[in-house]
Amino acid sequence: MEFTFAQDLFYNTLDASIPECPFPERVNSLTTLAGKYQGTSLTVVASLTNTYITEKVQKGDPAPDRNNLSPALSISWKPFKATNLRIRASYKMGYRAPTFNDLYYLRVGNTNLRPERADQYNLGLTWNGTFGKEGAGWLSATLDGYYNSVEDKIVARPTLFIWKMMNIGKVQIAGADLSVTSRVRFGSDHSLTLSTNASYQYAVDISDPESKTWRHQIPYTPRISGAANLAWSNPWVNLSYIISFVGDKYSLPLNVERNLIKGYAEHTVSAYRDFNLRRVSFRLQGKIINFTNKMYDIIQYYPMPGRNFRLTLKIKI
Amino acid sequence: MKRTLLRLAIMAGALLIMSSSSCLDPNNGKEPEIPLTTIGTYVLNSGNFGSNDANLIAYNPYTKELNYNIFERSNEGRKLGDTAQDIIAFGSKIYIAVYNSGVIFVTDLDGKVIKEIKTKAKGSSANLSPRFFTTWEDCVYVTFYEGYAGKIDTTSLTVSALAKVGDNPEQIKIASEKLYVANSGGMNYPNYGKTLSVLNPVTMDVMGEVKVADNPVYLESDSRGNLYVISMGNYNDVPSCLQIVNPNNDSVQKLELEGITPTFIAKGPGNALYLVSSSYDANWNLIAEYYIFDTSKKEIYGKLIKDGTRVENPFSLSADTLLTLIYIGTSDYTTNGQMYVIDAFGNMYHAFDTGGLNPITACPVTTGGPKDK
Repeated sequence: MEFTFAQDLFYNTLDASIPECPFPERVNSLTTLAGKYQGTSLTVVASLTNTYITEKVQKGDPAPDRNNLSPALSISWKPFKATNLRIRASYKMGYRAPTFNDLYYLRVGNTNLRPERADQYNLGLTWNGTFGKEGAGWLSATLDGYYNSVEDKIVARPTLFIWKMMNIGKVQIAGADLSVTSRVRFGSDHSLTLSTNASYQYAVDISDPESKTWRHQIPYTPRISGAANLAWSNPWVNLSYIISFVGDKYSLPLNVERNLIKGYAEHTVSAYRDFNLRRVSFRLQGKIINFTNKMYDIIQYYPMPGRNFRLTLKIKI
Repeated sequence: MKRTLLRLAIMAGALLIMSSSSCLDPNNGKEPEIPLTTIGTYVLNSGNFGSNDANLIAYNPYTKELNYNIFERSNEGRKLGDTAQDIIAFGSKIYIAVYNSGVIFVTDLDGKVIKEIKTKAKGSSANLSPRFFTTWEDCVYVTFYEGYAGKIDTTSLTVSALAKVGDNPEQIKIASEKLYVANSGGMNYPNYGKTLSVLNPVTMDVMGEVKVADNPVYLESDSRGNLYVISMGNYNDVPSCLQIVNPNNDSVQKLELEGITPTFIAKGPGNALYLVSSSYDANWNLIAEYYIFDTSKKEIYGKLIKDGTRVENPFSLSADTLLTLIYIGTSDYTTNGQMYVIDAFGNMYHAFDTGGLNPITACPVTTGGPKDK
């Protein structure tokens, strides 16, 4: 068993030349007590963090004092001696106090803000091992499932007159991440590496059942996304092929056709070779990015480049 | 869609057919007497700034039918653009100001584009950002947020004259044959504008200025030729207020309206003006109330909504004076707006999803009357 104790004290001020600046001062204390148990097959880390914030202003009202205790716990367990399998589980309570900008920014700030809070749960598996003759193959895989719920999110919202920081709504996020990496060596100096990952994220607005966005996916958060990279390294020219995939997403909270940003897959091929001339090492790399010339947007109505070529020479002296 | 508006046109009966037959003129060149009739209403959704999602819907106030995305459907999928600001129907054409796209679309009554007007100030290559329209005689007038007022020639569909006014002009209106522009200075916080520019609507020469309260934005004229001005204040310790300008001597009278913070104004029939009062409580919850103002007594006549309908988050106010329908657009700025249509008796006539963000204007389209072109 190990224990750690940490105490941090912050003092912040904000000065501005604008007439309404309230010149806030903040004293922020963070106290953390953490304990760790490490056994042969079990590791447990637990912590408690206390946040205390008090503020003073020269004009108007300061934000109220805040005092919050947030716990966190994580467990990692290796159930079998013979296999490299680990089971992980964690819980964390997230706490974000409003910043000076949130509270006091010219006209937009709102001293009535409550802190943002989140509960984060995670459950995961990790496995890695070798296979084949003389361990020629290696594989590592992780699978994680998580659930987060965020309350009192601090967001800037327009009002009839001006923008204002507000505590709006609740968001529920349930997701899963899978990643697999495998390498196979063959011949004397050849290897093939395949790394893949895939994510699923159900992140929806659960603020108000009467709202038009009830259980709609939050903006710019695709339900599914993933990537795969296959690399062949060899004595001549190393080659790789990368696919990244992003599913449909929405640009605004309302999940309607008008706000839909279509999903896309981008394909890239790359080749490189290292060589030395005297004592200087070089890497020459050529890439064809988006070689299928797929038209897509990351931000709605801001089209991304189509097929493009990149030639890079790196010199290391 | 075309068909819908045509159907709407049929509601106006044979009148339309008579007025549009130019070659076989049974009236020997004289304009036939056709009463002014509403044939439909366009609702303009401003959209979210920077999201290129402005759109237009057609509403039939007789059948309560709705046709979404009219602009796209009438123009082979073309989008209206970013942050539509105002729409006005004049003669057989519709004018749409798309602020952040810097374009005025002139369309036919079905929303099909006839002309795109892009306006540049002298010595600048950027398109000016159109804000609000008004009409008078044969012309359409427009403000540009960069500090200009323009006159649109409705035959050539060009901005035939451009006058420099104050900073960030908002609404523009004719009262007693003088053209007034509200110089909000909205981008100059904390030094908001305090003037209206007065222009000669024929020559577009600036004749002078009228001093009003901070941040003038909304203008409306009444049947006696007076001009009503809402100054929005500084959204902090200076509240909004309603003022009357007498165009004969440009004197300003500030009205004391107990418990009312005016935010929108629209002209009703006769002596009626409609007013929205909105204010925020300490937690930034919007408190809104709706009134009828009597321009003959210069006082509040009564509440606009009498059947107990709760209309929250007002975003715009428009009126159809012929049908005596009041359109209150509401918005939460993130989801599709809601349009509440209130009838002459203060009862809710209809409420509908506007199919877009931030419904900024409901624009009745009329036919007949002395000004039909």
